[in-house]
Amino acid sequence: MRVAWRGAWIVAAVITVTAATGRAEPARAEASDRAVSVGGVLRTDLGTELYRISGGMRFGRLAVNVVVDPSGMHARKKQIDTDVFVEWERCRGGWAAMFGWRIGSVPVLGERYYHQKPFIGVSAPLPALFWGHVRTRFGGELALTVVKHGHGLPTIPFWDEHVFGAQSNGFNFGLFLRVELAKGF
Amino acid sequence: MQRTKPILVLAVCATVSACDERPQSLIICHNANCAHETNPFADDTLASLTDSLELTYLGRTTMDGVELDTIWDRQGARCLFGHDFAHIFDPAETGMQAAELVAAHLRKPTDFVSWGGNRFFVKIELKREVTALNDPHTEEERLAHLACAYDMVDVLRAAAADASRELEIMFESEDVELVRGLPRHPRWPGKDPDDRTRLRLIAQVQSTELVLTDLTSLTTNDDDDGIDILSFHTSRLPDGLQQSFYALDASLMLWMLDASLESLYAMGTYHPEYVITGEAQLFRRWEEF
Repeated sequence: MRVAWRGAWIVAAVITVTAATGRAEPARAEASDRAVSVGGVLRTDLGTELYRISGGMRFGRLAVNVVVDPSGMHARKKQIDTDVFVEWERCRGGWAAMFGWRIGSVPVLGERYYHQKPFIGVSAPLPALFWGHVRTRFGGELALTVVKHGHGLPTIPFWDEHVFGAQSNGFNFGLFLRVELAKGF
Repeated sequence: MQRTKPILVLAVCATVSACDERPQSLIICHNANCAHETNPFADDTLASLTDSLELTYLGRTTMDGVELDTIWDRQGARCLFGHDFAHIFDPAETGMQAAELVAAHLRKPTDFVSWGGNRFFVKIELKREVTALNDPHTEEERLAHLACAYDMVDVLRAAAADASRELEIMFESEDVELVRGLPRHPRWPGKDPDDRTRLRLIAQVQSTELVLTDLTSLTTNDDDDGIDILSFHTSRLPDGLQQSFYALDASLMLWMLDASLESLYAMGTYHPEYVITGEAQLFRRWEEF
């Protein structure tokens, strides 16, 4: 019950902040041709940790982003997922196609097992918050683990895992929300 | 043209139903309580164990096996049947009493002592704490706790022999070294002590004490002292660990507190050999639907 109340308070706080500070205009940084951003990524699935840190730069309609996992880096025995991806906006401030690469580092039997995961997806802007200083994007992505490898562990390419079966171990589908402080330059 | 529509509908239905292959994991009753809702006050009691063993579905025992939690009680120097020190009844129930209840179940004159028929599974968990303050075992307490587990094994094996049952007994602890201590104990009978009995060792998938050499026993049956099974929970950690071990072909055991969409997804995706659940009836119906 306590957890439910905490969840309700969080939802109420998000709605209040969104209503009070949100505006249906692009974030201020979108007015500049170039922008830098730093913020957080929240996910709906367990392909990675639910909360990670993001940062990136935008050059016109192209953005280059990095997502790191501070909780995994802090705890040596946890899974760490690091993403590098590009977003290409069809038109400025509109939806964007994504392509990226995720390296998952999983603690297996005292070693690190690396999961190499290219992913594709789409993202779209949501209303800017805090009077245009904070931008938000929502999206979905599909990742495929193309190979698993690590010191002392077998190298397993995706074609050995029957990833195209009805219930596959190789694909991750996830929805995400990015909330970033952005500044044009 | 009109006649092609029903045929098309039938073809689609056939395709969809052909893809809906339910996994056939062995269903183990979590904390000896799958007759009532999950509740630490009701879990791991002789009453909940009795009710759970009596659960049936389609005229057969619902479960394939049962989990019995044991705690070594430092203060009383005794081996208790219970989930944690906060939920021990007075008078306390012992691990041996729980084993005797299961032994009585094995001796029942029935063709279906478990869902599978003649084969029954018992998972004995050895709790790592010996006081309410979570103090770990001393060496003496560790040996006594392991001896208690072997006393339970003896009772179960005797019942299985009397009733000509097949029996698999699995041991798990959050403290992997406690599990590794079992094969080093003088009473270790080996993993296949006779034709009808099999012993297996379990560690949690995120255990930091696991090492590369465990891979052999996790993926084959030829290492007499190694960990055989890895248990995992579906929504507590990112899924890289279960993805890794599934790819490595390790034997997996899914456990849960409550049934959820993630539990069903994990069953279909990782095909665990065992499912530990307090909702055995629900999972049996789902598997057999």
